[in-house]
Amino acid sequence: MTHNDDLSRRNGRIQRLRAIRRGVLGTAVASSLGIATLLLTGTAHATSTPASAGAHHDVTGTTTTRATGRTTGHHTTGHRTARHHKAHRVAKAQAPSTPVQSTSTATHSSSSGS
Amino acid sequence: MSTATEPVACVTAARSWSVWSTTVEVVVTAPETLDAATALVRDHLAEVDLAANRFREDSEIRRLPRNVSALFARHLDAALHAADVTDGLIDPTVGATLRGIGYDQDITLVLAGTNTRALVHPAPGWTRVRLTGNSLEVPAGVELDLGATTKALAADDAAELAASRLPTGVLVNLGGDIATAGPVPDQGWRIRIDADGSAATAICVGAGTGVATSSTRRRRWTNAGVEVHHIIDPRTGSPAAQTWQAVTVAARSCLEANIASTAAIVLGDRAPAWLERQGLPARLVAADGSVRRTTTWPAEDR
Repeated sequence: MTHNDDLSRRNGRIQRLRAIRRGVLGTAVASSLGIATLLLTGTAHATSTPASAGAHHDVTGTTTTRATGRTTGHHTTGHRTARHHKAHRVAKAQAPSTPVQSTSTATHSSSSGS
Repeated sequence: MSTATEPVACVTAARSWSVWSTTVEVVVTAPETLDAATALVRDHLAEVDLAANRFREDSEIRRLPRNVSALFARHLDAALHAADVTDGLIDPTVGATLRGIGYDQDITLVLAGTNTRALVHPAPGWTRVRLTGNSLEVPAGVELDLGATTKALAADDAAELAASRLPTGVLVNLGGDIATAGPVPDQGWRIRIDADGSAATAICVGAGTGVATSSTRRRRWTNAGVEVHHIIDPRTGSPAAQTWQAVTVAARSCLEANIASTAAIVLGDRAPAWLERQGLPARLVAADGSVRRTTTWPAEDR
């Protein structure tokens, strides 16, 4: 596999994850059940649905979906609910796998800002 | 190929050069691989430049074809991810905004020139950009700038590329955006934090850690008589308030670290609590030079 092949594969996976987060896939499922209208426009607005409202992150950053069958009542037009926003804040970035420690010995590199 | 990340006793070797008006540094744990690692990093950065440099007329970001390369898609995807997880504190649709405040060419040329424009354009909004696979839709009039994420992602990918092809641990530093991959030196990767306006400190990080510093003291210029800097608050279209001179963050990748450090600059007073909630080690240098740290950032020697 070439580096570009690998990039393409990873792109696809990441885009699928974001699509789930945005509720696009969940909205499509809901639409097929006749309970919501799928409206994919250039501004990415889709009617909020029970399924899209169930897309969330867990604390490890893994994206999962839940079709709860419940309406949330948060809103009807934006493509993310207030609940999404709260969930996203949990999954923004992960701390390093090993603690950051101070050192007084010679350094390999420097981070001075950009 | 290096797969293990255990510390290795070694003497590191390093090389640096200039790209994008900043310094690239490559450090390897196996000195005999330095030439090959340097070549891989150079080639990767050249590909990124052709894809994402908005100051090149032949770049994809200037042409915005309907079908973009895998590399451009990866970088745009990272920028959209950054916008998504920060609720728009970072937004790749600030291209026209940056042009409006005079950042319309390489920073060395901006600094040498005299800008007379002072056009404030809030970002049109990242949700207007649609990327599906390699298929791109950008509304007319929307200009992209991936500067908030491209260096960090390029550092991550270049380090990973070199460590996957060569028997060495690799650190790639792109102007303060630092990515590591493969085996670590026996005492970890030791990084000096040299933020403007505060005493320098140094940290030691483990395998695969990314470190990024965002600064309001760098890439500054005068536009229509007003001193401005390059970190834009997309909500207003103006440079972010200078609550912090610099914010340094460590995370599991350079991209994640840089998203957090840049968003922290835009967040201003709310940044320490925001970083703390995410458990991120972070060091913030305030406008008066005082330093704040999150609880996972180590105490500093005095």
